[in-house]
Amino acid sequence: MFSIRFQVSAILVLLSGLIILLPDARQSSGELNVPGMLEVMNESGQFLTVDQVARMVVYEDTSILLVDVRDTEAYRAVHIPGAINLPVSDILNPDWSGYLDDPVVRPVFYSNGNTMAGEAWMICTQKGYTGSYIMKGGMNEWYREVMESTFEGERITAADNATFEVRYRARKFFNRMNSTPDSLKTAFLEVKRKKEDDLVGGCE
Amino acid sequence: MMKNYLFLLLLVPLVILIILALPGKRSFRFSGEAILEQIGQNTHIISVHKFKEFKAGEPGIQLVDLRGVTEFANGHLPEAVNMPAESLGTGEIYRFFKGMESDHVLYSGETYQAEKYWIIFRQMGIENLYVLETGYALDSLIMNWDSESSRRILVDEDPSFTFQPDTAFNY
Repeated sequence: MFSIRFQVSAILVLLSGLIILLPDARQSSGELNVPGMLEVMNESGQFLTVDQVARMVVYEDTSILLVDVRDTEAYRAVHIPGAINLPVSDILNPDWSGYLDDPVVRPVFYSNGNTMAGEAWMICTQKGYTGSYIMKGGMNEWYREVMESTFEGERITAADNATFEVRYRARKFFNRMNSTPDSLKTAFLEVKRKKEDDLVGGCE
Repeated sequence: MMKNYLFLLLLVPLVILIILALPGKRSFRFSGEAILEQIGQNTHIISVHKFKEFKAGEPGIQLVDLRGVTEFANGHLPEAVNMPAESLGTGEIYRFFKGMESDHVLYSGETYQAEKYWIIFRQMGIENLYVLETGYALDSLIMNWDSESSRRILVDEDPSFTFQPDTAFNY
C-alpha cells in the first residue's frame, strides 16, 4: 500500500525520536554516564547528618540500611547498631547487590571519615544504584556529636531537648550493643542478589 | 523523481541527528570495578609531605583547585590553577587535561570532595592524577604551606575515638 521509501523513512523518524527521548544521564545498561554523574555529584541530598542517623537508629527506621564500608576488623571492634559490613573493595560483589539496589530500603554508607564512604557512594551511584546516602563526617563525627556532646546553657529549647534525648538514647544503645561479645554483635551476612529479571543489560 | 529528492532530504538530517544523539565522550572509559582496584592500591591520595617530594623531583607537577572561583580568589595553594568543579561539563574536562603530560594533583575544601572528582576523571580516562590529603582545615594549610606544621594533617579516615566497652553491662 505504502511505498518502500515511505516505510523506511517512517521507521527512521521513529528511531530518531526514540534516541532523542532516551534519558540523557544514563547508559543503556542503567549505569550513569559522565554528565549524569556530574549532575548528581553536585546535589546536596546525598548527605545525612549524624543526628538524622541517630534518630533513624533509635526509632528503628526500616527505610534505611546502614552500611559500614570499613574493613572487617574496624567493624568488629565498634560499629553503629544495625549496620552491615561491606568493605569498599567488596562493594561491587553481586552477592550484595540486593542490599545496595533495593527500591525501598536506601543504603547509608559510613566510614571513619568521609573518604571511603564517598568512594562507595560514587561507585554505587555510577553503577545505577541511585538513592544511597553518606553519613557526613562518619564515625569521627558520630563520636563528637552523638557520643560525647553535652548540652551547655541555661535553658534548653524544645528542639535541643529532642536532639539530646535522641543522642542519649543512641549512646546507650551503641554502648550496650558494642559491649557484647563479637559473636553476638556481628551477624553472618546473608547473600542477597538482585533478582535476575530485574537486571538490565547482561553480558558486556 | 520528485519523491527521490524528498526522501533524500528526509534521510540526511535524520542520519545526522541519530549520529549526534549517540553517546560518545559521555560514557566512561573505565568501569567501577577497574576504579575499585586502583582505589585498593591506595597510592592516589598523597600527603603534603609527599607532594613536596614530588615537586622537588618534577617541577612541572600541577596543583588543581576544584573549589569555586570566589573561594579560589580568597586564597589558594601556591601555583595552583582553578577548575571550578561545580560548573564543569564533559567537554571542558577533556579540554582542560588535553595535551598535558605532567602529573596533576587535585584538591578541594576537604579530601573526600577532591577524591570524588579523582574517581570521575579517572573513569573518563585521564592519566597521572593524584589527590592531595588536605584534611579538614584547608585555610590553615594555605597559611602554613611553607612551615613544618603543614606536615601534621589530620587524615580523614584516621579514627579519632576509642571505644570503651561497658563492663557493667550483663548480657
